[in-house]
Amino acid sequence: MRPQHCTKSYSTMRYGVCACTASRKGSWLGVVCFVACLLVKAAAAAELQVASEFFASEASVTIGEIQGTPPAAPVSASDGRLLGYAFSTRDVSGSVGYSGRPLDIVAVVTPEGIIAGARIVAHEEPILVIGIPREALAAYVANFTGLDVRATAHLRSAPGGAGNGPHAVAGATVTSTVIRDAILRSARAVLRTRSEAPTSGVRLDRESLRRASWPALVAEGALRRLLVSRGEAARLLGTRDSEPDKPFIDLWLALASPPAIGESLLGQRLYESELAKLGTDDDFIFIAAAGLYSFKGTEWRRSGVFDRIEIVQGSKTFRFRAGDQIQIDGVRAAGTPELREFGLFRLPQSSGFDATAPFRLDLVLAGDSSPTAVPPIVSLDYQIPNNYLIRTAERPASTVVPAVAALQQAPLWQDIWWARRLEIAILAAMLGGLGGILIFQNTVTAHGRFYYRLRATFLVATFLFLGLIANAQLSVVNVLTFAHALLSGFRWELFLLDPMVFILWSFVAVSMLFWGRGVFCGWLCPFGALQEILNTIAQRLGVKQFEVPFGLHERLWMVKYVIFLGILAISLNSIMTAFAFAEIEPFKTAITLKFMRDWPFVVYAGALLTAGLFIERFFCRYLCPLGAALAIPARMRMFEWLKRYRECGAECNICARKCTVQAIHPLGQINPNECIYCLKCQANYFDESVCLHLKKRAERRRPWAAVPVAAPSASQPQGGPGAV
Amino acid sequence: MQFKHPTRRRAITIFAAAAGAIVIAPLRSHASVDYEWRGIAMGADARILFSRVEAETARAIMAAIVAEIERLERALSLFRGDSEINRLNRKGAIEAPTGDMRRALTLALAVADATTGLFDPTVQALWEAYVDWFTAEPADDSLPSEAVIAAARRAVNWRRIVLTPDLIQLGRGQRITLNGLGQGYVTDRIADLMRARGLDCALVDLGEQRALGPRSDGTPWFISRSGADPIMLTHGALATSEGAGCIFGAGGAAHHLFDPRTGRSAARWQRITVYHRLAAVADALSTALYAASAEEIEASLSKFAGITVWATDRAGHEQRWTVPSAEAPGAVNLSN
Repeated sequence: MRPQHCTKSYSTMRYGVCACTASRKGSWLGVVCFVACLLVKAAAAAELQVASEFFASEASVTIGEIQGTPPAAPVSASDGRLLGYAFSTRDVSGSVGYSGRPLDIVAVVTPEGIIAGARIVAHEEPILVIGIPREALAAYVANFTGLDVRATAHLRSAPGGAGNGPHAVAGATVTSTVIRDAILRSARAVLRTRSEAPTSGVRLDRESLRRASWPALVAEGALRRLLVSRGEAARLLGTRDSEPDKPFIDLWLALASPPAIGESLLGQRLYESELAKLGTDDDFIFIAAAGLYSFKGTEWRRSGVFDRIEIVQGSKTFRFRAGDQIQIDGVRAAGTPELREFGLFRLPQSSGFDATAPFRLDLVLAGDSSPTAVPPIVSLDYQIPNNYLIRTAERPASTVVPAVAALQQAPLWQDIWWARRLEIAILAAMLGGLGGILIFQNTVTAHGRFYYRLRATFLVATFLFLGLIANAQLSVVNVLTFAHALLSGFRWELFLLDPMVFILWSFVAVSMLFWGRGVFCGWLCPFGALQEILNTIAQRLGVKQFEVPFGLHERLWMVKYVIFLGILAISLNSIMTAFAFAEIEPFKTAITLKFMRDWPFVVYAGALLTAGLFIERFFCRYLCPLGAALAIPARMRMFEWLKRYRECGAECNICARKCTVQAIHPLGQINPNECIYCLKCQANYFDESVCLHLKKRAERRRPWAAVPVAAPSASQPQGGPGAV
Repeated sequence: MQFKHPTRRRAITIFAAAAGAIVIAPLRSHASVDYEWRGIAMGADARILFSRVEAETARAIMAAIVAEIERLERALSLFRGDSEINRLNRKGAIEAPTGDMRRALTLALAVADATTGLFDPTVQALWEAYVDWFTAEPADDSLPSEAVIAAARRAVNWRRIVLTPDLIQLGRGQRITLNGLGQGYVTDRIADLMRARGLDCALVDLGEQRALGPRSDGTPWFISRSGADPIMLTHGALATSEGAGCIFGAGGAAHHLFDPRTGRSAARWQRITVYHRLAAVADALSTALYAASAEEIEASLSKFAGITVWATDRAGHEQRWTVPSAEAPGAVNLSN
């Protein structure tokens, strides 16, 4: 084994450390290695300072701090004129030499794009191996002075003049090409980010909505088509086909990010519920196809990578992983042709994809696997039509004040939170109040009248503010979205975009751990509040309540769990179908849309509310999938604060009968899965006019009293809940 | 261990060969070519000639080609420190390789299988051993010792590469190079791109030459070779391997085209030129067959279709084999 002569990392060299691995050949090599390292280190220390030597005509030259991306140092004259930018090709483009080892050239490029000077500061090219003296190489590099980097790699109409810059060092073709490449590439990269060119001033229209049919989208170029006939595919694949005129694949491509395209194609429901919630600057690629060939293939199910399609934009390649795919179950646009498969793929903003720039779809036609069968690739070019672009006022890129720039770049969710700060404050006050009620529940419920009024006020606030004003009705849809986010990559931004829902869910999650699911159901659910308010009014008006026999009642509880599990199971297959089934919740009809909806929905919600007039919280008791979803994890709750007497259930069932949702078993225990934590039983617990235990105790303490039950409060029990 | 830069795991270049030997001579009459672009692709000088489009379109096409070259170099070039192949060589494995990386490596492994290792993407270890040897003792014209070669050859075996859609994994200590077909692969991708934009009179020359139709006056492209007859090309690709393109040692003791079976520079032929519809295949085969004997060339050819091989031996005698293409046996895309 031949020893490694000197291994060093360029980055360590820069800090004056040189790690030489010991050689097996002997210590002399270590010495050679050490000397060599010293030499290189010295060169590295000089680094960009050599750039000052490129400006012999200037009296004095200042090399500034290295800054920016790619890194370069401004070079200025004694009078402050900017002479150019000094850079190291190693830093800028990671140049690697012919031998595969670092190659570092320091050069200066002027703002006009002229190389002011170049010098090799570090290289390990085995130049002597190829028989080229070092002087020749130095001269070659120095020869780049005066080269216009913007004019090389040029297109010229033949016959043209001689090429620009030195052509080669004879005998070292490859090394010279690599050097040339390193200098030109780095210089262009440095210039590109430092030129004063105005920003493109174009952005994608992500706001305007107009419905368009499939043919209209095709006509305006928003949907592009790639049709490969079976004959053409056979030619590309080197096979034969008996029906060459039929389509091998008839593929359609669209950028679905603008609502006018996305919503037209996917329908309002999917677009709003799925896409609009994701990062607002993320992009969506819609691909659909008919024909023999599948653009998805089957391999992705195993490998998690869609290996037949790639999006290419400029020098960037974007691949789709299974997690980037958003489930869609159909195309909604009018006039959609018959399609065999479709896919919607997310391109996050962080990927660097520019929706305003042209891109292409590369489709790999996978064929047989004979040695020379490089799978042919067909491409479809795409450019979002101009009517989806908004031209913004042009501004020079370099004059943005940093503080302003930082403000502009603040994440979208922060803007939303700020804009809804009033609602957030009210919600925070409500939740703070509720927290107080729960923590001091004994004190609150011991003051019966105060408790009933407080609860009535809170329910009205929940219905009016959370429901009608802030639209913060939580729904089983949130649970499904959350579950799927956990499965396919959780992203905070997605949930932060709706502050009310986010804060509510956070509170519900914590309160669920403390006291169970009832805190949400009994206090924060606008539809629940609406039912309870209506039922209270009904009772006041003398509507007779229907008491479900406990045995039946207990079994009807199961319905909501079945509904929830069914919806959850459906969502695993198609979340869109699950969202449709989630309409079993009347929340959207009654709260979000305020009954402005198609009549079947209105009838359904109305029927549930009507049932709620006779059986309090009918929907909550038997049907609510959200309640079921919360009840399951709420089994982990930590506190059991609801107080009971020993006699409860044995001698007296009064609070079981008064319970809003009949969650108290005839034998006395409260079923925490069903309890909505309205605290009514606790108010009863402290109410001497209601609770048998208290009555008996009072009786014992006043054996002389002629009338066992206090007369003034005899009519009170019914009066409490009617305080609305 | 430093993995930040490919200092230890060095890179290889195999493509210098064609640069000196092949000269395209379309410019006898400039009238037949409207545009010429010169630049650098995969570390080598590149030239693209095309005709019959408006200047505006030509500029747009060239911008797309420059971006495409940049994109492919980020995957396949050993000269880009941050390229996918360099990351693979540093780490021994990469997840979710790009499609280009996967396709190029798939072809490399397929050609390695078909030629039972005459072509092998893992010869990078040999290259590094040679670079080390000749760098350490530049004046000495001796060849690396058997021990050095044997040590390097332990990392040479394409069968140890694992390639799945979401993972490429090298065997222990292995490094790969795709320079044996990378330029051809890039050539094909650029040709695809140009054809998709409707160009039908173009020649892409990144060391390998691929023609998209004849010149605009209908005559074929004229590919001259030093010391041999020129080749006329209208469709398809030519690739040439020549040991003299990149030699080690002051006296040229070794060159870059190794026989993976012995670890030594292959010495049988002076030059191999291969024609195939695709530049990537022609490129890989010209590299592979450089190490083959005449009998092995014949044996290998039975596995391929639509190829022509010109082999020039040390004495300057040229032999030629042709395997007609399965789909279009009569097609004449070249003549000489």
